[in-house]
Amino acid sequence: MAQRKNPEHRSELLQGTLDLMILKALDALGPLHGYGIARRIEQISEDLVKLNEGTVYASLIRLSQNGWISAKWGASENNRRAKYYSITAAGRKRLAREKESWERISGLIFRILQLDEGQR
Amino acid sequence: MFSGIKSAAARISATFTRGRLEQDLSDEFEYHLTLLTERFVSQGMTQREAEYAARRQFGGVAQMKHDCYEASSLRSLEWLLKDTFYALRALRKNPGFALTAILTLAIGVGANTAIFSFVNAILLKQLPAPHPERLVKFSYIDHGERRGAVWKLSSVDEIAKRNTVLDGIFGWSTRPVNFSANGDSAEWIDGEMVTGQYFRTLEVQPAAGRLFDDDDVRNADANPVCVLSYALWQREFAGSSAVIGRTVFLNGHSYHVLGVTARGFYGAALQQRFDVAVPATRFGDFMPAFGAGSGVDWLKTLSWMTPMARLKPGISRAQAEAEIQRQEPDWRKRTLVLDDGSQGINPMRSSFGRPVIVLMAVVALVLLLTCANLANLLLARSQARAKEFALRLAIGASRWRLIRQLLAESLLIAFGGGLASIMLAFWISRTLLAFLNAGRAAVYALHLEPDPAVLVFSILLSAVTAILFGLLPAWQATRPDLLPALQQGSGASGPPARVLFRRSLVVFQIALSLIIVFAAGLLTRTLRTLATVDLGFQPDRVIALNVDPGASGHSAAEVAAIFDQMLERVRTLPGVKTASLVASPPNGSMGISMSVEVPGYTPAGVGDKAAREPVVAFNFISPDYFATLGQSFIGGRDFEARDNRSGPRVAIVNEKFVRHYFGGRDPVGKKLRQGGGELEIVGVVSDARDQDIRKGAQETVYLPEKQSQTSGLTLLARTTNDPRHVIPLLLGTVHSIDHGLPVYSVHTLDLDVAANLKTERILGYLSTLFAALAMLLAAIGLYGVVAYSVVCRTREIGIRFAVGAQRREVAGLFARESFILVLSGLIIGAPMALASAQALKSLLFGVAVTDPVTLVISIAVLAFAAFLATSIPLWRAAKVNPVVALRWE
Repeated sequence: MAQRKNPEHRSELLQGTLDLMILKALDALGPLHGYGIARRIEQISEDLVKLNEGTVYASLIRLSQNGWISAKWGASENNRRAKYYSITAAGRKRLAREKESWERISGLIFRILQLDEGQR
Repeated sequence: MFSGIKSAAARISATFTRGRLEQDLSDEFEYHLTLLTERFVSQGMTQREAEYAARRQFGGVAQMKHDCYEASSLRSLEWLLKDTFYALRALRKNPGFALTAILTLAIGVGANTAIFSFVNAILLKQLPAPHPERLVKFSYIDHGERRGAVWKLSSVDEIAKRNTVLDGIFGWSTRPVNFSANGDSAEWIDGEMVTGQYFRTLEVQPAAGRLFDDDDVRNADANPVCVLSYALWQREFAGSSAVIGRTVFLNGHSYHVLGVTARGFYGAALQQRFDVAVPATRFGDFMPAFGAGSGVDWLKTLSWMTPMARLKPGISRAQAEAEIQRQEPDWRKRTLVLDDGSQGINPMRSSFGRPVIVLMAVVALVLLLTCANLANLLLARSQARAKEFALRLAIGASRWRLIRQLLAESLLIAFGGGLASIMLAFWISRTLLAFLNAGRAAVYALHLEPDPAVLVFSILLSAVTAILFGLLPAWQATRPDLLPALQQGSGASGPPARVLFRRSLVVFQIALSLIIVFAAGLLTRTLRTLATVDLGFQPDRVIALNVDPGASGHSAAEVAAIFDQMLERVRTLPGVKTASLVASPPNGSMGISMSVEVPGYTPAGVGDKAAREPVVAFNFISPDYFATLGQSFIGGRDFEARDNRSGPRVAIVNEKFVRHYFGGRDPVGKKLRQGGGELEIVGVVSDARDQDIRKGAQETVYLPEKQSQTSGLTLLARTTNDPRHVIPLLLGTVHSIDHGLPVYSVHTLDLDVAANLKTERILGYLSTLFAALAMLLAAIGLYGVVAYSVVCRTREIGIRFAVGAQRREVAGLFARESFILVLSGLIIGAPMALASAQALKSLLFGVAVTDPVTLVISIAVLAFAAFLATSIPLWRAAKVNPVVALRWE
């Protein structure tokens, strides 16, 4: 959604990719707040993906509505009020499925692209 | 699926908690921006620069909030509307499909709902009384046989006086009553004769006035009172409270109205209505033969009441059984059993319980077939849309979204089908009830009104069906194996797994249909056998006229005189061959049974007195009864005018009785002992299936009605020509004797015979109807699969023709395919049909559960239906034009 409105992104985010990245981050690192998730994505993507960090929050709402993550208000490291998100069992299952289908689709696209080059 | 429901719920709640969300988001965003700013400051920016950079990296706060709101609520409501809209549009684009689907569902669910409303009314409903689980009925175990208890009024009173375990006990008996509000015009209503604790035990509240108690019943001789039902109160008195205390006429006797029962109370029997309740002590008014003038205190000697009671809280049935048995030493030789009385007196449970369950099972199978057909239909449809789905999945539509849309279509179909099914169910159950009561006064007042249980059943069934037939194809159609779907055109027949699935559905349908067709075959043959069985008497051209002179207030002596006079005059009517009186007409609703002692007869192995007095069927008749019915004399003589009150007591027995109790030796001149007196056997008649056609003839003793006490007589007249011409003459005769004499019913005897086979007829007709339906569904399923296969392989057919194949060979190709489907279905279905027919065992007559002829016929019928279903697509395959086919697509 946001990426549509910000054409300066280096790489267009496919729908669902952000969700997947958030699930993966929560799976790997345990409970995080929004800022922490943004940092993790920045670190992993090594600046390949530049996103408006606020987009994370819409994603988080979607994910928690599906029951894939849960949220809880808590105190942060410097004793400020922050909302912590953690992945649920359903979220882990979803992650595994997404991963599988992602691998299949990326494999498919890879093959299609190879095919195109071969025909040229 | 679950996460979908969860998310939908979360979204709906989010729409209402938007303020909370806004606050949370503001807090989170602020915290995020603070941390980002701190980070940039630590990297060396000034506070201002850092704040600016943080805002840029975060994105517009307002925009982000908007996105969050969209994600949380509004968007999803929009989607919901869109799903419904898309589904509607998709269905409208293909009205044939939508109509077929809705109709199929309506028939499947409608039939189930209708039959379920019978199951509910007969097997599940309880009396509308508080704590019905504490109500009990009484029966005995007598020589291993269970008999419902029928008590004397005094027995009920005895227990009522002494017991410590019951919160009330009552005796109950029903009788049609001749009702008149002011003494002129009269009508037949349903009366109940009850003892004093009737209303107290059932915990009925009055809608007006009060309901009677022990004192009212005890003093009823001096002060006759009655209680009206709510329905009669509304109908006759428009619910006016002025009715309390006024006088009404019941069978010509005046009664004071004491009160009206609460709305919704319909008596102690689940399948009856009552209009008026009178004290049991007044029973002479309703059965004049047992009235005060007869010289015997029948209240102390005649057993005529069905007892029911309410247990005290905390008392178990076993405790109460032991206590009552202990109090009543007389009963120790028989075992008293208390049964669950929460359904009240429920005569239909034993006679219709099993048939109704069988019908329920059959319609459930039909519903399964319906589901299979709908699944097949939707699957074919989604296969046609496979390419569209694959494309949408590829460009990023979520699978859940597609499934949701397909489910929306299914749910719309379910909704339409559900509505139609409720109307259909209503119509079916009405028709069925009318059929049950055909030709006679309303015998069964089944309470079929829509009731929560039925509605819940119907709604659940529709929803479950929708999910069952909608989800499976949706799941199949949206499987994310994109490559094959994208690659294929419409020319191939789809992934093998899906084709296999559709074929297994057809095999399953054929197997199911065979079960139903076989069951229907067995039940129809049962009906045929019973309808053509030799009854031992000729019911056609015999008119049964039921009048009750007692109901217009005549005394017992007057009643006897009226019957004599009637018989006299009817005999001389033109068109009447013979006429006679009988207490229990053949195949009527009730028979008479009494115990009798046969001197010299001892059954093997049982020694006590009760066993030496076997209970056999009795009937009280006038001379010419056997001539009227067409039964013939084997020996001895018919009753004559001299066999009256002053003559010696005589009896006629039937052949079956002679075989059983006299070892086939001529019994004429021998004596029977009954009720403390001796009876001389004067004649033997041929057997007749006059009680229950299935059971065959019973051992029967006939007594002259002049030497017996009966509660009512029916006049039988055999006519020489069409009975319809004689009926008006008969009625004229009755009116010429007593103008006000109410005629309870007049009909030909074959109606009663037909009524006796009602259950079999309903089972036979309905199962045949459902079998035809099942076959139709299976045939449509088969047709669909074969036709689809032909369409998919049109190109292949073209090629085959092009290289020189004959039309016969091409048709044979598909014929082989469908033959395998049908054969597998039949092979799977045959053992299933034989196994499930075991459940029909008690309902069959003259045909074995595993009857091979019926099985072969069923298979042949199904095979023929399958042949018809496949012949059209086969013909199409043979007619394919190779030139067109090769250019196909």
